[in-house]
Amino acid sequence: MDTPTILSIVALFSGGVAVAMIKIFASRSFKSTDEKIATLADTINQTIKLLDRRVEQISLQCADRGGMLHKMDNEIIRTQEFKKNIENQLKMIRAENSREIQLITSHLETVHNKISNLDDKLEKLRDRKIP
Amino acid sequence: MTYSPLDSLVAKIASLNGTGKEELERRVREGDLSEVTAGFVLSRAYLLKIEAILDSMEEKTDEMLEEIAV
Repeated sequence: MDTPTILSIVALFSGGVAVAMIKIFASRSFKSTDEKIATLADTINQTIKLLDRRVEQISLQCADRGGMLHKMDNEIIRTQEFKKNIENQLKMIRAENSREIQLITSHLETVHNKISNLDDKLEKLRDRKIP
Repeated sequence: MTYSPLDSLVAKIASLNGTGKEELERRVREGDLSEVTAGFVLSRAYLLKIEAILDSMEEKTDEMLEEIAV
């Protein structure tokens, strides 16, 4: 074989190899991108599902907290009513006690007067009995 | 004299049969009366008893004075 024939065989061979390599790389490259897109889509789907679940959990928690807040509001109202009742009872007790103290003072005065009277009478009795 | 809704209870305690004391204890137990008020009620009842005793002593002294005068 002469040189130009050899060169053209080599050229053909290297061209074929190049084309084959390009095809292989291209096919590999496309396959990889598809896989990547598929994986990415899958990841995005899973993330969306997770986010959906999280949103659901948060809304449930919000509902729970809303219920708790409502309960706490009721509790506060009940406590305020209880406080008002206690204050009223205290007012009544104070009024009752001040009335009782007033009555006791009056009784003490009466007792004091009665003791003075009795003392006078006993003094008279002693004077008359002792010659 | 000032009126008190506890007057009847005081009178009951000051009376001889003394049933009022049980009523007083029950009312304190049931939270109807505070212990402080119950203490005042008891004090008033004892003061009433003391008044009654002083009255009877005065009566007896008067009788003795009359006897001596005769």
